[in-house]
Amino acid sequence: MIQTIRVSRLLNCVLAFMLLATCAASTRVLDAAQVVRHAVRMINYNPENFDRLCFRNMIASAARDHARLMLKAQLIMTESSASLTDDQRQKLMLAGQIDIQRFFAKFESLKRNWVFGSIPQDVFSQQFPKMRESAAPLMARFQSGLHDNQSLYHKTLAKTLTPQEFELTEAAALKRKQTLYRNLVRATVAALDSRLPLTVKQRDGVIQTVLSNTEPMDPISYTQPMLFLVLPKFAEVQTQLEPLFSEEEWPVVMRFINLSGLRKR
Amino acid sequence: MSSPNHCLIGMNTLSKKLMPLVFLVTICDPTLGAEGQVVRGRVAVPQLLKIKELVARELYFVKKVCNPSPEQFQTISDSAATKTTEMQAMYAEYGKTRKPDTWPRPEAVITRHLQQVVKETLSNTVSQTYTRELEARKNANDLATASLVANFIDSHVSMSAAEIENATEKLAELDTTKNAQTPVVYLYQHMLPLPPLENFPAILTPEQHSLWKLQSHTKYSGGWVNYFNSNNFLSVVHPPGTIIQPEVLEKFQIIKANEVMIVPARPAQVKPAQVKPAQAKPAQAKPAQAKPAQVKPAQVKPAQVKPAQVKPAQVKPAP
Repeated sequence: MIQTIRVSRLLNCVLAFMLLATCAASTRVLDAAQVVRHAVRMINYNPENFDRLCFRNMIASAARDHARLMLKAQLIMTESSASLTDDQRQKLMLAGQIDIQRFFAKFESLKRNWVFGSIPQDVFSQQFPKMRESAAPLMARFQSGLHDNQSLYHKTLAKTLTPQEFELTEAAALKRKQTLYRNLVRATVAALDSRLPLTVKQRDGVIQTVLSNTEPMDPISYTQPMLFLVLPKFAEVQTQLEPLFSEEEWPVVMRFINLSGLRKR
Repeated sequence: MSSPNHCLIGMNTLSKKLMPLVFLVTICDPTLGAEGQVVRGRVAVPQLLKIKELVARELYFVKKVCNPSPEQFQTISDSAATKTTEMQAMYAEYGKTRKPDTWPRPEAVITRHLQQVVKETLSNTVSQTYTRELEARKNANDLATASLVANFIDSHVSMSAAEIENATEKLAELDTTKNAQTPVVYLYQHMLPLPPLENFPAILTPEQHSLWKLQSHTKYSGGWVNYFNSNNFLSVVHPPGTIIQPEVLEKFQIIKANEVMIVPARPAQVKPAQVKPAQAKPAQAKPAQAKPAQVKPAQVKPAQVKPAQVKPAQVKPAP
């Protein structure tokens, strides 16, 4: 009887040991599976992500719509400086649409170079910087407008209008550029004013000095803090600006101007 | 000044969804000491440190414009110091109302006070010059804000020079412009104070207006107090004689004479915390926990893939 009990206890122990061993083995298998899963970490990067990278968080179709709207706006602006016939308007519209089509054809061909979907992380890490680098010129072009001086729209405008009319539109474009630039300079001076209070004389002096001694910038798309876009222009005229400030103020102004070299990590 | 009940009232009135947003805001200026006011709830109040910075700037301006004698300046600065303490108590009290938009701006409070003190301390002519300078600054600020908003609107609808001028003038008169978050407003486009849609017919032509309406424009509605209290890269610019706060120096380290780099103060403290779990072996288990988070977007994607299938159809006409 006692022997039977001992044997059964022994058997129980052996069974328990086997059970534990099996559990440990299965845990190891699970761990290994997890490690394997971890090793092939996948990144989901779909074409829409690429669109959003290129078009300030817009998908390509929305960006295309935006470009069409901007073409309409461009046409309205052209009409404000030169009267257009229906035929001229249609020609310009067509030229503008071709600009948009060309741009998006380029964009789509660039997009086809990349692998999308579930990508291993290492492949993605290699691909992404190249992707961003190759998209940069397109991003810049889209943000500065598809109907600039290099566009078919502009060339068509030059051919469609009489030289006098074209001159008028060019003069209007330049005036617009100057007005936008003056607005940016005003705002930059106000930013300085908020940290180093300026007198009327200083404020007007700085604005005048910068406007009359620097070339106006092209209209911008405001994707980055606008302060950094204008401050390099202030740096260009620092010798002319210095007399407007006292000796003790000038280092403060220089510190402000030097913010143009600020890089965000 | 504030009681725990005050906090509880705020918490109870919030919906469950908003509960995680509830946080405790404490005036963290160590100089507050025993007099320090602790305001609990969802509303921040202007920090004493920032009020002091503002007062220092305005005192510098008084000195620059009015050129007072040392005794006169002492009187003015003593009065400003008293006002600073009053403002601190005033905002702690306002904190209970939880409506920062209705509170007076510190800039307006201190300039109004200094205007009064200058009037009492200095000659009439000097006082008038000072008032004129303050008004000119306020107008220049409004004009600058309106200019930026006009430029931003132009980037969406393309206006002529005359239209931009007109828009700038009209925008400068709006309350949205006058109550803007200066100077932060000059830094990021998403903080620009866009006017309500009903103001646009006066600013844009009907065609431009319909174009504007077709586009989406994010509106930022952050409270002004957060920006008053925060540091940005302009925080390194101070009037002469002002001491830059050590925390600002720590955050915005000057690397070279011509280069300023934003160096967040926190990462240095975060790094050792990341090293510690790496020493412990169960670290392998942790990435496994992170994976489900990656799986979720994968479930969302099939829905996102569908529009991608539409795109080739758009590409075909291109060639």
